[in-house]
Amino acid sequence: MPRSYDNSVFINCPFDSAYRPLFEAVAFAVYDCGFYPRSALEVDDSSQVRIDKIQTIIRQSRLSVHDISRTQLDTTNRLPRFNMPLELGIFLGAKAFGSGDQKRKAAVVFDTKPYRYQKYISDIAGQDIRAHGRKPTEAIREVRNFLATQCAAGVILPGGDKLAERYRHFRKRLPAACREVHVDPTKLTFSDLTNLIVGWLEAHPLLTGG
Amino acid sequence: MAKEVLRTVQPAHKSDRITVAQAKRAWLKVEAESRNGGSNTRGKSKPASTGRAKKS
Repeated sequence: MPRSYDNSVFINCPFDSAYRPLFEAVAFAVYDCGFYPRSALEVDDSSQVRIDKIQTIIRQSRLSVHDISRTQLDTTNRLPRFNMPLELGIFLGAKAFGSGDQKRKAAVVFDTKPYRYQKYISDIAGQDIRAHGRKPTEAIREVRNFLATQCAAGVILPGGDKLAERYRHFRKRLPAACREVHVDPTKLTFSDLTNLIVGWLEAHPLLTGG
Repeated sequence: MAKEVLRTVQPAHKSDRITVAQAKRAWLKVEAESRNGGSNTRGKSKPASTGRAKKS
């Protein structure tokens, strides 16, 4: 199935090593549910301003996963990071003020705990905000449940437990697969990661019991 | 400077891309080796026979 506006999922999350397991899990779940993850990391064009890249991806994505769990004070400068809430705002703005397909946008918002967002970004009350507790398998379940509501009529996605089990299998063997293609599993580019995920999915199709 | 410190996953570089086909081959090889008990131990678990009959 080719990538399209309808099946593109913009992932708005931190990219640091601590968040990496969650990022990989969310990207894996999006693919395993038959959708396409999109990220600011997919474009390597230094001439393009970062916010322009993000706006382009948001325009091309009907769906999105926003993780605002990293909204916390930085230990060095005592300021919160606001990239993720900003990008969530752009997505909500595109839905509110855009025309045509942009009106059909849908998003899920993750935080570490339920209702924590009310203390720093209460205006988003009423959005679909879920807690992953920093657990990749919980993030997978929540992404699956969100995407299950966005599938075409008659499509049933595998359950969250099944997807989590497949992700664990993928993650366990990832270092060995990386050795085969001569890359460091801790330094994967977004392109490397997504191609490794798609390669795994092709080698383990769900319908044959993979 | 804290800026960008939290965005450490690398952007895609076309020059060092792994293709899906390469990735799939790698996974199939890893799975096959896993089923066989791992390539590093292949053939080592059972020493070759010397052909000598055991003394009774």
